[in-house]
Amino acid sequence: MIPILFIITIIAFLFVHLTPGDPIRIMYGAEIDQETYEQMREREGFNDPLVVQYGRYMYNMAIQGDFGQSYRTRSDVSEEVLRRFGYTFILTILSMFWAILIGVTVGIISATKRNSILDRLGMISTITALSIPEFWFGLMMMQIFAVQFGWFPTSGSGTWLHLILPSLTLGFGVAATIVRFTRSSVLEVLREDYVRTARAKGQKESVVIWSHVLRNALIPVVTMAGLQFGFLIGGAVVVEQVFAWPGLGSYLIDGILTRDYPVIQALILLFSFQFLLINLLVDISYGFLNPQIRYE
Amino acid sequence: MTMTKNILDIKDLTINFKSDGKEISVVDGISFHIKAGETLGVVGESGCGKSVTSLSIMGLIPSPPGRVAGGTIEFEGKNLLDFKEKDMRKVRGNDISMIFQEPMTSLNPVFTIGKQINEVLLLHNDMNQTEARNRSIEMLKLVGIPRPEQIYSNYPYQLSGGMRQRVMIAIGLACQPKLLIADEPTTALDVTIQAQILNLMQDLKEKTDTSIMFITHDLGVVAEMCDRVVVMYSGQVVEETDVDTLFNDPKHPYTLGLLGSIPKATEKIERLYSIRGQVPQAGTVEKGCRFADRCDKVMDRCREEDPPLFQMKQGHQCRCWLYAED
Repeated sequence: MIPILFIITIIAFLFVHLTPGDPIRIMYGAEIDQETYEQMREREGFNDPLVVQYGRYMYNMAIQGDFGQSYRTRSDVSEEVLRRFGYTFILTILSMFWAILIGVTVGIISATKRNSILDRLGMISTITALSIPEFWFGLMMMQIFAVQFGWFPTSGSGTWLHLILPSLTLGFGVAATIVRFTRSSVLEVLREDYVRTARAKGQKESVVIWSHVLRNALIPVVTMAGLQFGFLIGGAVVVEQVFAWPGLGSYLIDGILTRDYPVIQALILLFSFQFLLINLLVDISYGFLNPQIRYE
Repeated sequence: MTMTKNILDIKDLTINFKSDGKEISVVDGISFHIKAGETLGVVGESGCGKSVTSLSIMGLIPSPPGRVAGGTIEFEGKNLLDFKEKDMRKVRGNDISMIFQEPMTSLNPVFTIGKQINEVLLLHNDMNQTEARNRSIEMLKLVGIPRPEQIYSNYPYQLSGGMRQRVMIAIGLACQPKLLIADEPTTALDVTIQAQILNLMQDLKEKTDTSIMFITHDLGVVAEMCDRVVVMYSGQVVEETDVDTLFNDPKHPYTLGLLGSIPKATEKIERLYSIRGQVPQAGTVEKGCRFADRCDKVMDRCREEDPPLFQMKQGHQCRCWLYAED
């Protein structure tokens, strides 16, 4: 994990510094004269070779634990990240909760009632959900449930009600993927000999499905759901912007718009770290689902 | 007639499967019975309908595409085909249980052995976890598993194929069923383990007095295990007799062919006999005997008319025009 993170720091650094656009110009525009501009460039160290700049960045981060200050607000990036992390965390977790709840349930129904109207309906919905861009889906949700019915606030944060629409919007696409995955996995397991054994014991069909089949069918679904977390982090950036949710996503967008290098670098690194961490957790969770892995 | 009653009595059972919009009879009007305490061998090549027949007794035919299209399956005088799913569940694993061909895949990989035996015990008996556990360990001991307490908490992947089949037998016999259906239980095992499992089944049968329907394509196994034999070919019963007659005085050319293809240790032969051709696909034979194309003794009549079952002597029937009296 450490070597991967190291490579990511290089990529993130190069990506940010080689992007066209100058943070100082963007921030002050034409308000400052050439001399002040040069001074500011010198102060931020932009005139040093990239390698030196990278070295300084790594030294500050790895040794001092300092992620730098935002060019724009002059506040500590790490403080701001910590403040906003909770918002994004609860949003992604809740989205994943919806995604798994909807995805696994609909997937099982689709598989057990294969080729029925329910199954067809489920499959059509998943294609639709996968094809709709999140920002548009979010706006539609807002239009219907917030503006028309007035059940939820349109945007912002504060109460748990603010969370419902953004998390549903974000979870929907992932739910669709999980539906398809669960369906094919359950269909595969249903053909296994041990399912026939369970039925031959006189076990109820519901227990056969929810215990014998599901425990086996979920193993690949868990992997996929873990990988989808990466997608969720990306999606959160868009959804947070749509719903004005004060999480990391909107911070990142602001950062990119103003070429706020320390902010962008810190967030790319954080997102990558989250992704790696989730993959690790997925690997560990195998042990609970598959006894063979637990012992080996 | 003997006085023992029939535990299972199948009459004119027809099972159809739908494929490409057409319904095909995979099992075509078969009748046979199993007496209490008896072991009946059901012999035939792959695809002759023997496994489908056994699944239909359990009410486990995958439907769709399959369905029982006619006939009756009487178990202790009651037609199982009239049973509702809920009542059928009380029969499965309790009165009739089944062990399968593939011990490697027949146990659920994510549950312990103990849990899988407990499951059937708890479903059909009024017992608590501790009682179930004790009974499960007792069953493991009964089927000759060493260190049963340890195996109880093992997972299937930690056991060999032979051991897993013993576990399957333990599950099958846990509720003391009246009928055990064994669908090629030793086919997937190597020969030494095969012999052990067969001995075990013979042993347990004597102890528990369970009737067994033993499905196999191995006539050696039949000789060792069975009292009577039903030979199936392409969805029909072609010969039914006791096991002595099967080996000493077989009638149907198909049975003769099967017996002829067993290598004998006492003879040196250049080339082992085999029945030429292949089993016709279900539903492809339109008229005449289904075995006609492969038969050494085929006559003109065989290609025209489907032979009925002819009564040979007491308890011996054969579906072949050779034995027509007219």
